[in-house]
Amino acid sequence: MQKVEHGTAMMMSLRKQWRDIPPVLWVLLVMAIASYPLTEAFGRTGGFSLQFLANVVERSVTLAIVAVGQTFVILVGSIDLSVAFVISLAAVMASYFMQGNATMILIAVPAVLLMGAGIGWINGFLVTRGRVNPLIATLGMGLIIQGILSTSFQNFAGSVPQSYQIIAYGSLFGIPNSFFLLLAVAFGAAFVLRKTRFGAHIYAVGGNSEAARLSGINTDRIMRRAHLIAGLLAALAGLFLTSRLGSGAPWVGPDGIYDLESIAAVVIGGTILAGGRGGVFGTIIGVLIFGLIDSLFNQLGIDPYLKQVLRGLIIIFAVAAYSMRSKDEVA
Amino acid sequence: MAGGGEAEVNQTSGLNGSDNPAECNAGGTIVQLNKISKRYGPVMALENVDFSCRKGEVHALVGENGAGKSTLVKVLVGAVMADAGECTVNSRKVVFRHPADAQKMGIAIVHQELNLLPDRTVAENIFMGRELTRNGMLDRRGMSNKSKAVLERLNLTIDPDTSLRDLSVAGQQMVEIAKAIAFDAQVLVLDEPTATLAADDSQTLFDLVRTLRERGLAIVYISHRMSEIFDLCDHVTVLKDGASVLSKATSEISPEQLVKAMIGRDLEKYYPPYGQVSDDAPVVLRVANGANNVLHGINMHLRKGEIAGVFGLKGSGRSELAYALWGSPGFTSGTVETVGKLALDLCTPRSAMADAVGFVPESRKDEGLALSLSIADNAMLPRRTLDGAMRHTSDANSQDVLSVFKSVGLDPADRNGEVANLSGGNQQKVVLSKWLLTGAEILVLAEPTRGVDVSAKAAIYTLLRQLADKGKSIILLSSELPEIVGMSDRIYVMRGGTITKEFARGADEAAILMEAGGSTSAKG
Repeated sequence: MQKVEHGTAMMMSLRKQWRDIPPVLWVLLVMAIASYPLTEAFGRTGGFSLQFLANVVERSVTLAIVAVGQTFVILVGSIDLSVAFVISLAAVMASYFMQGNATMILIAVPAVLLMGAGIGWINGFLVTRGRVNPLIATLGMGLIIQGILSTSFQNFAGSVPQSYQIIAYGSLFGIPNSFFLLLAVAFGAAFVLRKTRFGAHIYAVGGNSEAARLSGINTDRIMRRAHLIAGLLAALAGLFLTSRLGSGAPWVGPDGIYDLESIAAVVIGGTILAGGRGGVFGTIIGVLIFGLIDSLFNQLGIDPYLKQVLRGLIIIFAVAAYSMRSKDEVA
Repeated sequence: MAGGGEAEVNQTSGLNGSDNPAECNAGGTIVQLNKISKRYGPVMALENVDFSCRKGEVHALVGENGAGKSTLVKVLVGAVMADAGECTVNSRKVVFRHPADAQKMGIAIVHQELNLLPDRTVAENIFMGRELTRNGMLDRRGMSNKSKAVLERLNLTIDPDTSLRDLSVAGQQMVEIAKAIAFDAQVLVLDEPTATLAADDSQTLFDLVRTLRERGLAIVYISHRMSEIFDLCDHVTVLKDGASVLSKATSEISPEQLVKAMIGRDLEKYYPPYGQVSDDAPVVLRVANGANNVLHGINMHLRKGEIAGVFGLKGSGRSELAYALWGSPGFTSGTVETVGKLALDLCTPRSAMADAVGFVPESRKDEGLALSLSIADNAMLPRRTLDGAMRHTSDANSQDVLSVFKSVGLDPADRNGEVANLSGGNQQKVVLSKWLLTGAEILVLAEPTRGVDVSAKAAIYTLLRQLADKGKSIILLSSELPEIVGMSDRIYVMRGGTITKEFARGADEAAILMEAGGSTSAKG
């Protein structure tokens, strides 16, 4: 009897862990497998190689960092449309501060991160204290940043020192540094969400804000901190982008459509827009799906605008699949 | 004990400011509210109200909606701050600025609507806001084990690791209670806990409340149901218009006296006299062998000018029958005849409307009204639908609207006000007006007095009887037995998705309840 119970308990926990795997992982795997013969047959440079996969990940790092931040705000039931502009600001500020001087890295990096966190906090403040709808508050904030940037900097503002570009182009034990950055952000965020009280409170506030408040959670503070993290990570993404590009310009953020793509990646990853359900790993997979499509279309030499169609289809089908699945759960 | 309230608690150096809580418990009073007043704009929600909770006592708090019950409870649990008056816990003066402050002092509340996270586990819900940590990390195993212990202490067999979504409503409520008392609560406030429960689930709840009382908790029990107040509660406080009008042991007072204190008049006048429908009055609605995926073998009829009651517990198919009569979703087999003529299927709300049926849904705010529209626009909604999409809409100032509003007891001068600002009873009158304006002959009313205060209930009952006497035919579906017995000319009882028995007017409540409950108890 004992044994049987133990067995079913094991089955239950296995099934639970199975369920914890974001279903989009299978989509990513299927796409990766399907891309193998395609790149082998039609690829312009090389074929399906380790280099190809590394390229996929490298392309994804900037978006992944922003999207992890976006995951926090969406989980808490808010949204951040200012991230693309914060990326621009971070990129411009970083190269402006550094001006090719390596010693300035130590000042520029913390200053830019602090600035991103500050903008995020202000976003959160507007949403909680000002009772401004987060779409409007963060969009307004983004427009303000963009306006100031565009009037102050017409072109690339300074440049970063050679040593700074190690972040994007250097490698350790043959593994690109950007991988480590991506892993650090992803696991750090997952740790915060799963293992800390703050993480539990994010799910509580996003799941049912009133319930969280009545359970003694300071919901406004949690909301502001989630926004702060989104701003911080957007600034980090901007710093990484500067390292890749060698300089920052006012248009790098909006050109990358980091605002909408980060939201799309979060949603594809299974985090619901209403908040309270989802996680970071789904988001990372969502980003990798985008990265894979990018690299694949690039390899095959297909019109890059056509990939937007595929992205659009994936977003719609992913969300349709999720809502149908949750209907099943209810029934 | 509940641990220190620290900065939020102002300790008095006054006469009773003892440092030892146990010493103060000797009197048994845990929380004492003195002369609490609270004003919302021009409305005096509470005026000099005294209230106390004693150890091991179930204290009923009753009053009509708007009498100030919820405001008083909010003050008690720190959700709002009183304008005047003071609160002492174990004889220490305290000021609650946030529900967390009250929680730290051991005052917990279970709200009427569940405040839980459906996507999280039972343990995560129980520990919401008070998560255990070990080395700065969440201690999931610890929370799970402690939740299990709490649930076991309450004789509940719920696995703390299941996700809340998988539990029944009753199960979720038990989790909510477990959550409320998991942390050495001294006072537990239950806000209409049986409102969403079926009869046998309510019994489980009562057992739980008694267990908690024996453990020495002070329980504040808000309810509208007389039987619960007298069976379960030791003491009762009645609020009326923001003032405490009566506070006595339940053994020293009769239900009649209590109702009189609540509504300020006698119970006999509560329900209007039955109608005078003869057995050969024409049948306006007949359902034969109606069935869909929930219902089966529905046979019923309705005579002109009659109020036919349908009683059923939660899950009996009562709600589904209401929707079936309104075509959303309708019956998938069987025949439906309206007004003796055609056998038009009631398969969409539109065809039901065309057959002169009107429908008052269970959830007024979700299904009955468009809360952002004006009173008149709400009342005109179905009428305008029948007008057709491209036609000029009927005027909200027309004589029809004015006369219908007058007939249901709404002030026609208010017709352009927002419906959201009306009381529950008046909102329900607006919903009824919708169908009086379409000229519906058959009214299907699902829980028409849910969330409506006592005197507004009486007004709605009188109105319904007036409508029936004027020739409207009414099907009244309700889970409130007194309402069914008090209003119905004939009573159908539902169980397991079908009508199991028909009773004559004024039938014995116990017999009806037995029939509705069935021989086997269906655990949630």
